Amino acid sequence: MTLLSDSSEIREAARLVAQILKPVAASSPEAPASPEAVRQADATPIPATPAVTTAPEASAANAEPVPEFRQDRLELCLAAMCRRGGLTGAVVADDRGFPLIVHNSPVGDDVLAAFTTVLGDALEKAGTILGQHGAETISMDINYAEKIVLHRFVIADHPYYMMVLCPQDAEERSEVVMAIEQITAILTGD
Amino acid sequence: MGRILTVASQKGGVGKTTTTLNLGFSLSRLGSRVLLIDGDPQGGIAIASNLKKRTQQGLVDVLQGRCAAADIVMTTKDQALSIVGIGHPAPEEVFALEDAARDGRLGRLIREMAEGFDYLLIDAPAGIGGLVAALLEVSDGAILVAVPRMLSLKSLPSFFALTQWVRENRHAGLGLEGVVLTMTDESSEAENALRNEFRGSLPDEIFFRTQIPADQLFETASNRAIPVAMLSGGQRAAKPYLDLALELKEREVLHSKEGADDDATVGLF
Repeated sequence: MTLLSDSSEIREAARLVAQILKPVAASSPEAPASPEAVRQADATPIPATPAVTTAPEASAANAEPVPEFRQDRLELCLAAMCRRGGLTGAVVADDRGFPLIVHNSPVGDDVLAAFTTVLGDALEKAGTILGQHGAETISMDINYAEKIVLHRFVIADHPYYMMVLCPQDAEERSEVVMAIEQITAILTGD
Repeated sequence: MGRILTVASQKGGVGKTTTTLNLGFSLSRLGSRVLLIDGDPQGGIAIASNLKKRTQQGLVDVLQGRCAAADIVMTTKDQALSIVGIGHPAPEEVFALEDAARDGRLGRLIREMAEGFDYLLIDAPAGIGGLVAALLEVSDGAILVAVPRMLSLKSLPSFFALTQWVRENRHAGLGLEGVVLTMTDESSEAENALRNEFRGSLPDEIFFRTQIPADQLFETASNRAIPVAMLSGGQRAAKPYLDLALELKEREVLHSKEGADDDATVGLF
């Protein structure tokens, strides 16, 4: 069973470790920076700079100009959600399983979309069978470490599904709800 | 001046303080003069060693001018190991500590303290904030502590990114000493699979061969505020930390010959 090798985080870790194992360019100071240099460097918040170097989507999310195209804004929204919540990947699909927005999908879009409809149907049936018509979330552990969470939401009377792949101990709900609000705002122009 | 190594992790609860205390104790048993510094405002090392029995003062008190650096270095009974606490910082003193980290005063104080020791191990707070960055700035190496759990492993890039940023912007001499996996459970097939895959995903050289198995004796030792090796039945649990100390020294020997000029070697006598 592959647990980590397809993980973007581990790929990122490997890339960074490769950099760390290389000597730093000669222009960098060998000795610790002088207090003056430290003060100048402090003008940039410390955590912000590594985030820029490690995650392309992080820099995009922090960039001032909002992407021109709606699709880019939607993808950015999913990427930001995953980054904030420590989620592995996410997809938003319509009720026929057509993927509208995808970020870091661990499998093909078609497989993910098919699974979305399967879980979406299960969610519908659960609402009918259990009489819980307000049920909007279904969560499934897919291995000992990760889970898939499907959240149904409605835009202009049309049901959509957001499916998230994340570690089992991730607290994804608030991030998902917030991202859905953003997606709804982008799609409806609010 | 001895080697300054920061024991750090982006995650809390992975065994940084336990590793600092037990690795430091092991290095001292191997004959090195070791100073442990509590870099965590929560004062983990002070708690783990019952430092308050000797002093309540620490780094914040020196930085606030209430005492001298020499006043807070507490030498243990066997003389080879010394410990410096953080003190008991009030919230505003924690802010002042972060200010001292930013303006370089904390770094200068730590370097000053490293004189006369072979190793200075800093127990860093969890996370990737400014205080951790400042501690890495004064360090020769970082020892990254990680537990073989998915969330811990997948959040490692943030620490690697901080390490690389410090190297590129503040202190090119900082190295990644190695990643040590703690609280391992070899009886768990699932964990073994995860651990093996993780180790296979990154260059082997960044990992310490030694892993620290989970053991109830660490909790017992923690309750008594001593290194696990000081428990009457603690030698088995302490062995991995002794191995880790040896491996650390082994790496130093290997690295010391890297790039050396054989023609300049003068021979044994």
